[in-house]
Amino acid sequence: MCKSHFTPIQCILPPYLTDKLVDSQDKNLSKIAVNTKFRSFRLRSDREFFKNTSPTEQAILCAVARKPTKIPALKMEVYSCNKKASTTDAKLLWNSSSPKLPTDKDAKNVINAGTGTWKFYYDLFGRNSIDNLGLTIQQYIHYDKKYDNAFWDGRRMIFGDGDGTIFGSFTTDIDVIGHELTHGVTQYEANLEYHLQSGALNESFSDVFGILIKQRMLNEDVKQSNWLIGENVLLGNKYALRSMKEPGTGYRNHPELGDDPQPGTMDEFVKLPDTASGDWGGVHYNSGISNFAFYVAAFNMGGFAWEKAGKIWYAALTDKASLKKNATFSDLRKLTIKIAGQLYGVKSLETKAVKDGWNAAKVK
Amino acid sequence: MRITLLRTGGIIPVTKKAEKNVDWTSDELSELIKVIKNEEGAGQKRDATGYQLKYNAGTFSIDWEKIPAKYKKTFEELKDDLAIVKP
Ligand SMILES: [Zn+2]
Repeated sequence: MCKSHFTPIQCILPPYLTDKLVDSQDKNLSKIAVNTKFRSFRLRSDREFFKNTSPTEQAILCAVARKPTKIPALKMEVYSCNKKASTTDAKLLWNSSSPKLPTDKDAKNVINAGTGTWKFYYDLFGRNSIDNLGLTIQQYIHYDKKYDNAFWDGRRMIFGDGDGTIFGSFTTDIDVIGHELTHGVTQYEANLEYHLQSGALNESFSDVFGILIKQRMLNEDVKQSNWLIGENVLLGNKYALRSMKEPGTGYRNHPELGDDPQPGTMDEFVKLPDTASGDWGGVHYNSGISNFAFYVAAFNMGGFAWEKAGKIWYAALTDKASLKKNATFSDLRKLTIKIAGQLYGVKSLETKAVKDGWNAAKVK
Repeated sequence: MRITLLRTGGIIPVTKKAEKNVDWTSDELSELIKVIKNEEGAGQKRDATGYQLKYNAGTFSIDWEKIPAKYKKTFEELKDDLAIVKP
């Protein structure tokens, strides 16, 4: 960039003088004048554009562009539950002010992925932690004996060690850790109700950002990623918890779990009771539908999925005015197409990719 | 009487089950259920697992924390025996 870019005369010259200076014999002065004209035009057109946007459109653009002026710092604590099914007496293993990492492998895993998750949300969207207010990320490991699960309890992440036969430690996949942390982000944003279609969307947002966090940490583009969630925690080379690329193929003929029951299209929507034993209407089943829509959209856009498709999905998740707590797949379809149009143009490749994604998932 | 402990939910929904014969009377079980019965609802928990107790009167969601000391050992044994219900 040329040094004259920052010269103060650019700010105080009236337009008629700028015009004159464009024709100046002094090459430096004419260069400054052209730059000034160009910037003035851009500022005018930006103002003109913003003047005609609705409050919702402004919220979307600001959510994507906003960055706090003071650079916040990650705050994290890692506790060990020492194989007890309670967080009450958990022991603090590490906090973000300690320079030395703990020796515990699971602690290292959650610190690594938790840091990657915080950076993902901050670097790309200016989001300061789960609540965007700098909440300390609390991760509890070694929960219960052979506990084969990870969950978000409304305030913190909790990880089990797995039974060692079917499941390994639930800290071994970046995407699983990103998934749980994103449940926190969703709670502070659209707060999608955890049942039926809105619950499936809640699950899907966690998978979407879980995979994006992993892809960014591993520097994988849409073609390099295998789009698998939990490929390590479910033991055995050919198994993963879920596949976003081909829902229903995360595991097949597993000796204990059978076949992955996720549908990838709306015509295969799974109807289950809205109870705990019915997975609240199949939230972990039907999330495959919007996962697949995201995968197709991102793949068709190409490159790094977090750059465009991720930005569109994040703008949707944080648009509380448009994405209601009881939103349906169809609602998210409409909103993501609208956002893609606003960010990239209604006739853009990106908008077409989003439409193609939802069409592939047969969501109207 | 035969009782069944079920565990459902999780990041991939899996049902686990364990059974046991107990010498509790129906009245005793009814009293126990009154103490440990949980209102169904995910609240703000996501991917969480939950327990249900099943016996001849029905299936009830239970709060593990509310299990009285007297019954804790039986429930812990059941929990240790939980095995995946194959689909
Ligand atoms: Zn989840």
